[in-house]
Amino acid sequence: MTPATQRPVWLIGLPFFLCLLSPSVFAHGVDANTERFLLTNQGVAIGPFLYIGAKHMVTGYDHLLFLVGVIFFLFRTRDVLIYVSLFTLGHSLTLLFGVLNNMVVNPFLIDAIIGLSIVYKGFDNLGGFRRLLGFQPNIKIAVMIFGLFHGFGLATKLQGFSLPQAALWKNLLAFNVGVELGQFIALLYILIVLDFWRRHKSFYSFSTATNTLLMTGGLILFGYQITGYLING
Amino acid sequence: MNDINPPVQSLKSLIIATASATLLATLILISAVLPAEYGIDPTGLGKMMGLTALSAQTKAASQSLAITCPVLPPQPAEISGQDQNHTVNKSTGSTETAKKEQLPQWQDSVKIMVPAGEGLEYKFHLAKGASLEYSWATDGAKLYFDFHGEPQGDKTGYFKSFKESTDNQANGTLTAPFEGPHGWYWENKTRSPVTIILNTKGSYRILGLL
Repeated sequence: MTPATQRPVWLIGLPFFLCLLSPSVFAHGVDANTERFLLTNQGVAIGPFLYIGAKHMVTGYDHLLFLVGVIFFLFRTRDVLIYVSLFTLGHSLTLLFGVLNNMVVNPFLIDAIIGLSIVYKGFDNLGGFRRLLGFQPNIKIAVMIFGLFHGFGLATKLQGFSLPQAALWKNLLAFNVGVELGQFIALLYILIVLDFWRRHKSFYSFSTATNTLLMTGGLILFGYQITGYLING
Repeated sequence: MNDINPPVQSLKSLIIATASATLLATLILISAVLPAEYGIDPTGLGKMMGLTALSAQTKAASQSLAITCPVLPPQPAEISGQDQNHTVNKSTGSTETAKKEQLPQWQDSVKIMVPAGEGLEYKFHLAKGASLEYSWATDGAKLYFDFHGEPQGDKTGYFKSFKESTDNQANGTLTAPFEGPHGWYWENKTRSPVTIILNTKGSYRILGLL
């Protein structure tokens, strides 16, 4: 496999991958059918909640952008596992805690912070903090803390509906497991693409541009959510 | 590579990266996201590209979908200072314990939006002889309503109407004459959406919007 033959494949593959992602831009949150189901559902529904959780993650571009940022420079499988586990631990904690304790967090603010988490990671990947502060803020702790915020984001999505209190934890757990399944699936795609890209020089020549774009994406999400907060409170 | 060691960019390229990210994000936000999502269009570009229509449509779409967002816990204004515990609606709640509570401590409270010019139904499943105590009020406008029940499994389209009127509120207690779905049909004949808050208690199972 010479780079010459790989390049066209890559060029064809990229738009295709983006096409796969683009519908998700409109599918974030919960669609009408899911909403209807959640509103009328009264009992334990493991299957549906698993699915809703997985779908939320696979189509949740904010979580995915953050994950791209986190694993962008992780070359070893072990590191990927460690960081993704930290992220998972973080968001599971707040998802479970937030829903079970009926913690009310403004969804716009939480989503704005999630946007900022992407900006942070993009800036971090540019070596920004080491340049400005002179040291590297602990990456693991940062991932964990932002994971906590992402979990609150997940919790607010679920809390928008009247989840039956009776067997709440069962549905919640199903949702959480679904989220992890969805994350695993999404991660596979991201890793395949990144791994493929890393074999090419373009990865290194475009890594600055990519992380700049990551920051752009985060800033757009931030602006979008903050405006929503200002308008709808 | 032992740990993650992303290349540290020079200060200049950091500034360029941050500035261009901010600039690009602002551009996209102002020209596309804000017009399309919220109808905020300072540059007029959104209107030129027809994006503001999108936000108008989303508003219309969210209005045509009647959203029930349960009011939890039950409206404190209507209860005389008693501690409210999270009550869960039970399909087989004992009617005796329900009778012991003298004050209407609502079991469920739901906010229903009826879009302009449309009608919708909200129902409960009741067993024969089961009681449903209710009180609903709109945010002002009067709605045509039909409070009725259908026998379980009936395919003929038969229903028994308990109350049919046009009003902005109603309350009472229903003892189900037969087993099956019971509830309201509301029709909004006005030009703007009307929000109803429906409070209920009794032994029933929520079927919700139909």
